[in-house]
Amino acid sequence: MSRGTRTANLWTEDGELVLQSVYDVGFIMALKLVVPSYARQWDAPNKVWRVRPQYKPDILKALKDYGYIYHDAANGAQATMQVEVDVIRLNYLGNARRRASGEVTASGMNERGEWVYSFPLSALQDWFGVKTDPTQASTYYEMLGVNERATLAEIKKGYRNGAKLWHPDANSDPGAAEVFILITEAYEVLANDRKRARYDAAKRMVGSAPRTKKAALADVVWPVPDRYRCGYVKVEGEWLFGRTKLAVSRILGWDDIINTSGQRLTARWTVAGGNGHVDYDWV
Amino acid sequence: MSYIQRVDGPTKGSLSQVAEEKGITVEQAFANAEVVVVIDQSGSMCSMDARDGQERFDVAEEELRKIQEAYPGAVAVFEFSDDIRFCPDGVPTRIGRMTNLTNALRYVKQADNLYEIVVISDGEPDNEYAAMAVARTFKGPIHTIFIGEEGNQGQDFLRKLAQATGGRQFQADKPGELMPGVVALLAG
Repeated sequence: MSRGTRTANLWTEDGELVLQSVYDVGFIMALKLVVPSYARQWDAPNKVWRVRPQYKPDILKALKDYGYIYHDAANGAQATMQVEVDVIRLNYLGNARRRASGEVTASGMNERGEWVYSFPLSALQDWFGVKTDPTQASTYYEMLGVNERATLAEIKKGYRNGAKLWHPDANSDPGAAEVFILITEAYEVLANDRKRARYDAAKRMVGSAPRTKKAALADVVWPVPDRYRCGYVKVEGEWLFGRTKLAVSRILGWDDIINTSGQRLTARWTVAGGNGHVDYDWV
Repeated sequence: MSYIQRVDGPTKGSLSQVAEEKGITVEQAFANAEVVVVIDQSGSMCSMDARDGQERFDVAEEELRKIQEAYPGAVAVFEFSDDIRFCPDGVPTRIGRMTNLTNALRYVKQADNLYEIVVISDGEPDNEYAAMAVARTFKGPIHTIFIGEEGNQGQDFLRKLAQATGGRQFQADKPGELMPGVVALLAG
C-alpha cells in the first residue's frame, strides 16, 4: 500500500522538540510507543506535539518507518536538564507499570485531579529500600534484595523492607499479596540455617539448569502500598512543558496529609461502570 | 557441571515438573527434596539381565519414574559415568564408558548432611580406593543400592561404602527392586 508523500516538521523551541505532522493514527501510535507519556505533550491550540529532546532519534526513526519526509528545522540547541527540589501534594499515586516504551513508571495525580507526576521505578525502589522486583528475581536472595553472603540481620532488613511494601495489610493491590507470599517464602528459607544451607547446595548443584521462573504479575510491577498513595512528597526532578509535568528523579521525603482534626488522608482507586476514579477518606 | 533435558519432557513428579507446576525455580524445588539419587550410567548398565530381559538402564529409569510419581519433588537425580550430570527431568539419559564414582562423590559432597544421598550402581568404580577416601570425608551417610546379581564384587564395595559412612545398604537383585530401597529412605 502506498502511503504517498507526507511532510512533518520538527524543530526545537524553549529546549523542547516540537513536532508537527498531518494526522496519522499509525504514526501517533508509534510516537506513543517510543516516547513515554511523561516526555510528550499534545499542544492542542498549536496542534503540535511537544517532546523532550532526547527522544529525537526515536522520533526520526518513527517518521522514517511511517514513510515521512521530515524537515528538520531544529536549531541544534540541546536542552539541559534542570533538576529542582520541590514539595508536591500528591493526591494519588498509581502502581508502577511497564509502559509501551519499556520504561516502568508510576503516575501521580495533583490536587486538581491531573496526572502530572511521573515516578520512575528506580526512585520508588530507592525510597522504599527495596532494590529488586521479587516477581522478576530468580533467587531467594534477589527477592529480598540481598547478596548471597548476607547476614541474618541483612536478610531480616530485606524482608522487613519488602513486607512494608507488600504486606496485604499495607497494600490492598491483589498483586501485592502474591509478592508478599514470594518474599515470605524467601525469608523462611534464608533465615533458617539448615534450609538456607540446603537451598545454597541445591543452587550450586543445579548449576545452569533451566529455570521455570514464575511469570511476572501482569503489567503491574510495583504495587504502591496504600499508605503511600497520597502525601506531601519532597522530590527532586525536572519540570517539563511549561511546568505542567514533573519527571521525578528522586524522592527525598514523604509526609502524610493531615487535617485539623489530626486525620490522615487516604486514597483508593475505585472502578465503577468501567471507569476508574479516586475515593478519599480521612482516617 | 551440566544438565540434561529430556526431549520427551519432564517425568511426572520430577524437580522440573514440580517447579513448573508450582511456578518456582528448579533450585527452589530441589531445596524441598529429600533424596539425592546418584545413578550409575556406565556401560555395564546395558546388561540385559533385568526384568523380562530388559537393560538395567531401562528398568532403573522405569523405577525412577515410579518413585517420582509417588513422591513428587522428593528426589533430585544425578547421573554419573565419565562425569556427573544433573537430570532435572528426573531420569538419566545416556550411557558413558567409565564409572567415575570418585568424581561423582566429590560433587555430591555439596549435599552432604543436608540431603539423603543414595548411590545406585551395578558395577565397580574405576578407583575403589579413591572413591572410598572421598566417601570417608562425608559427615552424613551415603546409602547405596546395588543393582545386579547377588554375590557380585560390586555389591561388596557398595556395602563397604555404606558402612564407612553410616549409611544403609539396599540390595536390588534386579533394578525392578530399586523402588523399595528409595521408598524406605523417604519414609525415614
